[in-house]
Amino acid sequence: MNCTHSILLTDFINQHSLITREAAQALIEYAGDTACRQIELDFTGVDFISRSFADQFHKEKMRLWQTASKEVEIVNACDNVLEMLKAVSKTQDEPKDNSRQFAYIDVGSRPAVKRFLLSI
Amino acid sequence: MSALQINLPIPKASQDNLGHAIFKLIQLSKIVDSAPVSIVQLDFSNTRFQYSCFLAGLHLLIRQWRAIGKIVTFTNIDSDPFYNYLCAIKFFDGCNGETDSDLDVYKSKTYTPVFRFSTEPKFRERCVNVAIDVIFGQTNMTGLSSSDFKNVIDYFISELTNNIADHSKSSHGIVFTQVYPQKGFMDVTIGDNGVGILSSYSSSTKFQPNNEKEAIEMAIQGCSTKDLAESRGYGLSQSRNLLVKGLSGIFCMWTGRHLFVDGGKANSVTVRIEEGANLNGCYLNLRLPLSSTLVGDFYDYMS
Repeated sequence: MNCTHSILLTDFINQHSLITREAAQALIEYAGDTACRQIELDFTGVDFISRSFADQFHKEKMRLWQTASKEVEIVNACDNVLEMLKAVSKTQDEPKDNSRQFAYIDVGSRPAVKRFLLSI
Repeated sequence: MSALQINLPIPKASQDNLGHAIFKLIQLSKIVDSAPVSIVQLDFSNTRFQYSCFLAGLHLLIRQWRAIGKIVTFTNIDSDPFYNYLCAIKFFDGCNGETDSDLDVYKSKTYTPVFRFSTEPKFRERCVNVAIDVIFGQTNMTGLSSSDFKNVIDYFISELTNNIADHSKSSHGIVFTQVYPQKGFMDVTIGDNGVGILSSYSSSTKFQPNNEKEAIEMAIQGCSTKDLAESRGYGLSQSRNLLVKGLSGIFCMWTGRHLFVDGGKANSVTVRIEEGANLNGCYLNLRLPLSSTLVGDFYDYMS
């Protein structure tokens, strides 16, 4: 249906920081339960989203578009929220460098562990 | 037959060195784990003060001992200012943040209670929000803008508690912070009594570490235990980067029989600790200098 469904996030989750992946899943699931193809998420009152929330939000938003052709638009988001969403969007398919080697101390003896720990 | 009991003197907190606290925890763990005792009596007669990094670790060890049926008691601690502090931080049982209505009192303190949060999403969301508010309300990091400080605290607490929920298979985790204005740092401790890092990789087909050392190094480098997209696995790795490279802090992790330390005088060192000492689950201590300035932009550390 050619209409816009608006949701104020703080009505849905009464927190100013959105933390969990599950919250992002629940939000998009709730938002997608409309006949409208345009969904407007109003971030007024939200001053932080965790990286995990942002990553899951990004994935769920794409899934909603791909499976139901419903488009999510973000409105009234503060810079923190927009920056975090931008940062996670860059990492969706980018392989990480897992090649770094670390120093290893195989001590196993009390004096050696103590010496190391007291030195840090 | 009477139950075997051990009297375990809690050592004095003589130095603010983080490694000193960890060393004492390792020694306590070793004594209890290697003794065939059913009652552990923690004797506080030698100590009238402890750093939060030690107390958070002791809280986790006590839960670990109780989980295997040991009875833990406390002696030589009553009627003491230190006992009042332990009660104020809710050391003995933890604070769930879900029902306690008196959390505002902590906004004028230098410590939070030992938040014991449920890993169930709805409660975690609320408890972690409360913890972040308390920490933000009581701390002043002079080198950071208010916005950067809020982002940093939000990031550490949210990502590391999410990790516990995603990987530890534990029903609860803890968050505990203490600011030391005179010494110029704050400690943030986050931990759980779950399966530990090595076991958390057991369901992964993508990454299969051969031992605990490899598992720690994979986790630190962002190899997610979830066989999902590349965008997973950032919580631990980026928290370390942000703390050590961005804020000149010290990152310390204890899981099983290994420590991982980065920052300060240690440069990404994994250490196998003594036979007999063990922490089921994971203990993380983040030490932030209060005068830190952020190197680069906060969002550079997110990607």
